[in-house]
This record gives sequence, C-alpha cells and structure tokens, in this order.
Amino acid sequence: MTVESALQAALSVEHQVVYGYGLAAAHLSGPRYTAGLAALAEAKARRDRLADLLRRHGQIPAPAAPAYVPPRPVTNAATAVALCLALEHAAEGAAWDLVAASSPGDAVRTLGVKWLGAAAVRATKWAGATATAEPPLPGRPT
Amino acid sequence: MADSAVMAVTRRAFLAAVPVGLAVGCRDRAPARPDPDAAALAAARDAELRLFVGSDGRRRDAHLAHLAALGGTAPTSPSPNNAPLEPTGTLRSSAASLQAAAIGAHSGQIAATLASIAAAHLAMS
Repeated sequence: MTVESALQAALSVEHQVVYGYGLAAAHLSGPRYTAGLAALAEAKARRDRLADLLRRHGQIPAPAAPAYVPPRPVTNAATAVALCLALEHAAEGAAWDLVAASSPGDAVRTLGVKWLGAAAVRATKWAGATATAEPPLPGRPT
Repeated sequence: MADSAVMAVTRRAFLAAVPVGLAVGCRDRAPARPDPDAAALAAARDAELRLFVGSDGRRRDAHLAHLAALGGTAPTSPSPNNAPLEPTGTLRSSAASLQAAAIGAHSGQIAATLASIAAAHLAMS
C-alpha cells in the first residue's frame, strides 16, 4: 500500500467516524455524550489534517459521502455505544495501515502513531460499556 | 493467455534470482547490513518482558501477545511471588518510548507493531 492510498483510506474512515459520532451523540447522554462530542471534535481535526497531508502528496482528498449506513440501526444508547466502538476499531485499522505505509520520522508516521494510541484508548472506554474484550494488538490485520 | 502469464512469472522469478546468487557469492567480502530496527526491537522486548513478569490475568496474556509480536518468548521459569506490580506510570512510560521507536522505525510493519503495542499500553494504563 502506498502512503497516498493509505492516506485516502484513512480519510475515508475518518469521514465515516465524523458522521458516525454525530449519529451516535444524538442517543448518548451525560459523560458518554461528552466523550462522543470530544471524539467528534478530534475526528474533524484529524480529517482536516489528513486532507492537508494528501494535498501535500499531490492528491485530491476524496469528499465525504452525503450519508453513511451504520452496520446496525442506531436506536438507543446501547446501539450508539456499539457504533462508537466499531468506529474506533475502524480507526485503529486505518491508523495501522497509515503507519505501515509511511516513512520514518515523517508527518504521516507521527499522525498514524498518535491516532492509533488515541483510538485504542477510546475503544477500550467504549468496550468497557459493552463488556467487550479488546484485542492485544489494536489495528493489526486479522 | 494463461500459459503466457505463467511463463512471464517464471521468467521474472528467474531474473530476480540472479542478484541473490551473486550476493551469496560475495558474502565473505561484503558484511551483512545490520538491521536498523534491531536495537528498537530489543529494547521493546526487554520492556515487555518486565511488564509481563509484573502483571497477571488478562494483562499478562496481553503482554505475552506483545512479546510474541516482537519475536520474543516468555521466561520458562515462573515469575517470583514478589514480582512488582505493573504500575500505570510504567505503562505510560513504555507507551511513550514505543511511540518514539515507532516514529523512527525503518520498517513500516515494525513501526505499526510498535505503535500498536504502545496503543495497547495506553489503553491499559
């Protein structure tokens, strides 16, 4: 995978993360709502950074789709938390691929490493609410 | 068409094999290039081994998986009863070191593995 294709794939995932957290937040309340909004803000900032990195690599960032269909209907807090967990797992995978495709010391590598850490921390918090065991190596292809 | 494709693959493999043979012939005069990530991997294995010894339960299983991903193995002798517990600060410190090693790693796959273990340590801390 080239760094350009990894960046486009990461941007595609981040578009879905932004959309998904917006959808999930509507069903969350209290600390989970706050956590969802914080994740949404981080995802928006990272989406813009990924688009910037793509332009620096001479690529045109792919736009977001008008809407995305979640893997399962989001109708309450439990299904919203499950969606948040799925979003972070997708982010872990995209971050792994980004790190693997990048060069030592460059901005893409740094972004990917930090993103993987942040996604794993959030995934563990969402997983705690669903009693799901997290994999020992976040993002590693299975 | 299918036969042509097979022939082309075979020929590519043969052509690719020639420099390998030449390299083998020159092995005595040309020292092998050291693995640029070897030191980072060894440091990560040492740190993971310390965390493995100081942990128990599911965390111990996770550190064992990390050790295996780094090409290491768990000690065969049982850990002493007075092994220090894995403190949160140790995990965070390890995560920072692993992230720095991941950013500098020459191999993308090694970088991703180090970053993933760092992520797991952050999530456990």
